[in-house]
Amino acid sequence: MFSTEKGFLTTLAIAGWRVRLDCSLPVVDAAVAAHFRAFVVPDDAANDAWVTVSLDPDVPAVSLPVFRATRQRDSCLLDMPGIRGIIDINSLQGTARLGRRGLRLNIEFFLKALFAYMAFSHGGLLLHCSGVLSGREAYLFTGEGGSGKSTVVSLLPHRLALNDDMVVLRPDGRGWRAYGTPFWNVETTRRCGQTADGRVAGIYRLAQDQQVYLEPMANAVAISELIANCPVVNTDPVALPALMNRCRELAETVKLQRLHFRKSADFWPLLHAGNTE
Amino acid sequence: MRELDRIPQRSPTVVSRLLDEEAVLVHPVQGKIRVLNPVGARVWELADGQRTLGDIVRAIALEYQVDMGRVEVDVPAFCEDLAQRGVLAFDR
Repeated sequence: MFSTEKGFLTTLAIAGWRVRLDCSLPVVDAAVAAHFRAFVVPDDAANDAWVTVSLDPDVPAVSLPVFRATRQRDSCLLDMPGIRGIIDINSLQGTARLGRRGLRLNIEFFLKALFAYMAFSHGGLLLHCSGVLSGREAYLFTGEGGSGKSTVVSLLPHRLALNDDMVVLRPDGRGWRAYGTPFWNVETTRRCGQTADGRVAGIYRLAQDQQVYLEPMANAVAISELIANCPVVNTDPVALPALMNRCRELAETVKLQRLHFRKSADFWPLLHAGNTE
Repeated sequence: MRELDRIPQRSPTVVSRLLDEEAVLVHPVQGKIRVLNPVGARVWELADGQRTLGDIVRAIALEYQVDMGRVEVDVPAFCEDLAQRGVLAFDR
């Protein structure tokens, strides 16, 4: 990162896409650099997205982390506690005016929205799920808040964790590849795998239970589960038809199953059976 | 107007896909997703703003070989439920 007459520039690379952040104040730049340092790269190549970030005292403080994004022609408007911003969906250029309180969260929320569109426009998806790596294979876990996405990651301490809340998926030949992101849910989760990636071996909808077993999911249910876990774009009426097709393609390539599990790592052999490292 | 003369129509704001005879409905404004079973998906497909509930009842009873009396109760109730959820409306 470096300073220019315009502001402080930091370039992040997430899932192979580069976004340049032009921060108006050192405090914003410092927040970006500290929180996303594992993803900071030299500004020596063409960027896929470009965002101007500034502080705005009129933006109300962040309360609940709920996306409120509205599609307006070719743009996505964000007007929510902590954030007022706009993302041009075609050029992937954005402007973010953020509240100072909860600045790191505000930046992160804006970047999630940006990456939701970035992934979508490149044929991929930003998926609300946790993910761990076993060798070159990625195992992803979906579920609503409290279902155990972060818990599953913590139960597998010997596996690299892509993330406990948000993972980027990109098509890769006949399959899909999962990439770690800096968008963590639990602060204390170990982050050694967040810049890693792996071929998606399976996606599991978590269901806490006394028994440990896998349950098949009907195709329509599996696709609806995927759609429900694609933030921002799943409330965009323009993007929705293509999103449904994208999720259908994913479900045709990667098996989705319901994983009944208890708070123990004894579910792992069940997933790993049949998948080679 | 008789119940079976009413004409249900899919909401234009809802995006849907038929998958293996089931249907996935997404309401982007509400942020809600619903999956309909094969019979529900067929009713959804038939709710085109042209057919009356009576037309749909007859089609379902014929295609699924179900007792007409039962379908006359179930289909209007199902459509009413979808209407209350904002994914379907009645033209009249």
